Amino acid sequence: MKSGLKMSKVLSMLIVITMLASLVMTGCSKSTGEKDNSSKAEVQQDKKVTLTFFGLGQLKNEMEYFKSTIQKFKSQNPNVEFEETYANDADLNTKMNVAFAGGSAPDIIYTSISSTISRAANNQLEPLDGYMSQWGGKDKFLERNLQLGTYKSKLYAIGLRADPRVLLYRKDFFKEVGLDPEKPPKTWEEFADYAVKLTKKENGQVVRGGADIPTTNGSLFLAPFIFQNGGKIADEDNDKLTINSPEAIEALKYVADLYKKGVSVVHDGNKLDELPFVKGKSAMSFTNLNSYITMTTNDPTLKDKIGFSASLERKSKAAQSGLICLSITKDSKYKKEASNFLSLMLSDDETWSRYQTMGVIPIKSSLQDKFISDNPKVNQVLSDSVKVGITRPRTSWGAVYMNYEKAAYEAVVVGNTSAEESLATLEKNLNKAIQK
Amino acid sequence: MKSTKKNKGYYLISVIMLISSVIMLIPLIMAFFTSLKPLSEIQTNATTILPKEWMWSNYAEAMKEGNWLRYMYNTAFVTTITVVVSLVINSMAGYALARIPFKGREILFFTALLGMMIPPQVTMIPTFLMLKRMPLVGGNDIFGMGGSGLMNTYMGLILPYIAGSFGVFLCRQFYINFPDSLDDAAKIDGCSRIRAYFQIYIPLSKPVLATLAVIKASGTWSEYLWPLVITNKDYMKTVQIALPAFKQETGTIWNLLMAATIVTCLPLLILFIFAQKYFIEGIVTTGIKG
Amino acid sequence: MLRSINLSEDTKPKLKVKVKCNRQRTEKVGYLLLLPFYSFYFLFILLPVTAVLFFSFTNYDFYKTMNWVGLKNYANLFQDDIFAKSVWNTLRYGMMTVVPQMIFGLAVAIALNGNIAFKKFCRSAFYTPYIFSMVAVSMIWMWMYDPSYGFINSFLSAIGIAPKQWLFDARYAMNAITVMSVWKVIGYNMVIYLSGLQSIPSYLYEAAVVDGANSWQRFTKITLPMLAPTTFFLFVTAVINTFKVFDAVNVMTNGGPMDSTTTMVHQIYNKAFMEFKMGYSCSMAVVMLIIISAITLANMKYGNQGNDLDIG
Repeated sequence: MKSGLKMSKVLSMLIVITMLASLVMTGCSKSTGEKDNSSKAEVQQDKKVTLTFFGLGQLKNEMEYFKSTIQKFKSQNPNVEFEETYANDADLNTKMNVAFAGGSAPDIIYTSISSTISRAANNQLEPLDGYMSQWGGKDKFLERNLQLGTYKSKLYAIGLRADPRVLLYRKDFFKEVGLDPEKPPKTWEEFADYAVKLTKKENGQVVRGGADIPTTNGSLFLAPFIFQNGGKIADEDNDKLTINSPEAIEALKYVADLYKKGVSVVHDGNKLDELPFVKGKSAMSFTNLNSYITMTTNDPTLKDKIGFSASLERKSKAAQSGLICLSITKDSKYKKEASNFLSLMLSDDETWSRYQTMGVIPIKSSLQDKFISDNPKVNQVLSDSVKVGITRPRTSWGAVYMNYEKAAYEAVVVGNTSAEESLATLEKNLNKAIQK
Repeated sequence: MKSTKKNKGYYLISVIMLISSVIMLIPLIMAFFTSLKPLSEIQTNATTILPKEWMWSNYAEAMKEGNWLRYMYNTAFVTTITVVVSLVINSMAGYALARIPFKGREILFFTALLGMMIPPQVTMIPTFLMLKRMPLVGGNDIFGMGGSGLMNTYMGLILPYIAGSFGVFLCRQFYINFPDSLDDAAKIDGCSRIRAYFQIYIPLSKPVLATLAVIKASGTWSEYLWPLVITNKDYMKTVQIALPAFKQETGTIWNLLMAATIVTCLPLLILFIFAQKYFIEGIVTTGIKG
Repeated sequence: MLRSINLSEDTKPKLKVKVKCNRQRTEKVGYLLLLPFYSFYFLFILLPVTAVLFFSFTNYDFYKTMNWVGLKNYANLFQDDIFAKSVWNTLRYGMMTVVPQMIFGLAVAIALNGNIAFKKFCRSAFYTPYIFSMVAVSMIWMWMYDPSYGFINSFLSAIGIAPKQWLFDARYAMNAITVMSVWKVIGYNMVIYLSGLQSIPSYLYEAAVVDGANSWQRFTKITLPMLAPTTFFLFVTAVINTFKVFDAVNVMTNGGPMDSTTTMVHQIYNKAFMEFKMGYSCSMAVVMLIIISAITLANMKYGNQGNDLDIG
């Protein structure tokens, strides 16, 4: 049929046009043909080198600091090109996973300690002990910092930014109920006692909490109490879970009892910017410096009304400490250049500069005194907190563990399960999971 | 729902729908008010509804965070190409599956649905590897090694979208409803299937094509995971992956985030309003009296 | 597909739908028209799905390890309590969202198809939630649900109902997410139903009116049956989207409280991206594929006659 032929001609033209359009789009692509590391040969000192950097970009001034320091490094090392990718925690994790799976892993990563350690456990990172001499030697760094970056006795991460949680409290609320505003609680008993005194209720609802005890995602709140009581969540050297212990049971009971007294406004422990304390709805909170900055930026009159304290103490001190660290990946073809970059980042000058521009606690032991004298009220507390900092368990099962731990907390604190039963279940579930 | 007396029914339903519409919009109205507040009002006291100060400047400020003109362009380009190509190939495929008998038709149809049934979180890994290792593009040699393939390209963004089977499914269901007598009459007239498609079915397809365009555009515009994975460079970002920049560690910058979110949704809303006349003025009007 | 509409003087239209495929003729032009789409589909979707199937039989750790482990992942799945919980949560979520969204969508489409005032505004109002990303919508609703400062509790207190803890309470969290999800997709259902309504020939209604049928009869005997393909489409896509629910859970509750909101994709994501158990995660995805296929096939066989909905 003539008309039939004509129509199928039109149709085939349509198909061809579609295909052509696709080809044209390839021409529009702006790919620069990034070099894939996995096919590069051995590199000499003078050859053009491209370092790929994946870093957390959730803090504007930190991102800008990295960008300017990378520029500095590039001018000192003209043969080195840098490709930087910044993203928030979840997105960065996704991108890193895809990059590692696709054979284009970055050379240097800057991310949270839990993400770093889980990658170390998955054999994706390079041990850094051997590079320490280039960076000044282990004793130049805060001991605790190096400990926290260690997995199975090897150093994998250098904590660049420690983010400890401290006890913030409202001096004005303290005065209101007759407590001494210069005497924050030091023991568990005091903390519970003050929390009850500081709570304000109306019609059975808490309108001002005495303290922020999370309703969900309370693991980071609970952990320091376990350590303060002499317990440990994990035996890292043997990769074992040790939370099912009398010390942890006692800590969990303490938190649950206090929560059930109704001293807290309902909230999510992971959402630090939504804490009741930040909204002016509670009197005490274990949180980081950002909360203080947010509150005083929005209402400068609060500067004198907020007090700081390091951790509580029972058998020892402990404070939850977030840690963002630098690492070098195992697959990197430019470990030497990466190490040079880290050398610059870890120098005394750069470390002090980070403090000045971002308020980051210096991780070099030599700079501690200078740091504390710069702002004694706040920095002494921060320095103490870092020294007794704890992180999430640095084990091969860290990621699996988090969900079980979250459920165990909720079952006891909000639900009606006993602490013994809950921790026993947690142990059983985890061991079952890691056996597979 | 329907009333036989025109006046009563008309007013009653109009009022009910108007009230329902406003209720539907409440969360978005709240987002809009949030976009006009100063940050301090949101961070320290979350109970106010109306902003104390109407800070229209938030919108300008939000757009300064990053290269928004570029992100909009990228997203618009990718969406447009995706929608245009999808309209062509999906309606052809849907027509074939609905009107033309051929062996294996039902199996091919069901297999086309399979792709929608697996979460993108896992399929994106093999897809990523495939696009990254595509031979002879983006600096790759013939084995697909050495370069970055289709990463950071428009092709890389578009290809998985036009492979989606949603449109095929939609068109097939639409074409199924046409009476057999239409095809019989065409056959008697000596019309080939393809000619019937162009001369009979396409002119009657305005509702489904408008629907497909609107929904496919919304879907492509809202894509997050795939652009995140296939692009690394700032100039290739889409609007969705540019939004998290407002979630800082010090706290989410809610007002700017809401402002930027609203700006990113406006093009789709305009598209919908524009496409509406194809929903109203279908070729056949319905007879449901209201 | 065999379907006939009686075009003669007989004014009561009869609809016959047979699902059996007509294997007597094969017009090759069908393959030709299918080819452009299917080429893209095969390359960029079918092949990756096959890869996922392959991964599910390995211990792929998202990096370099990939060894064949046969059915080990699937065996472990059956003993995974949290996965079982996530399947149950997902099904529960599905039951609460699929039918309501379709019913509301149909009701709104019919109401906004007739000749009422502000039609364009209302349609846009219902559709707008759909064009916001799930992430943005989740954040907005998270605020609204906040037990202390949220709009919902303030509103409830004002009318004398006790405030609830919504996303923090294991009894309400899933329901809270459900309400938000249905709100978001009513517009989508409306749009598809509107387009379906457009294709119903008006002479059918005119003939029925002449025949003395009232509005309810016109609805049940003409509208609903003619909408059967649309309804099938919406049902299948709603089921598929139900199973894929992730952003809402991830943003609002992260699977809690007490695992009451964890869904299958949430588990799949955690296992792959946080624990690097990609092989195991893919086996979960395959199980999900099987469940959805089964539901879809069942509906293809038994539900295609339409009239599944009973609007009282």
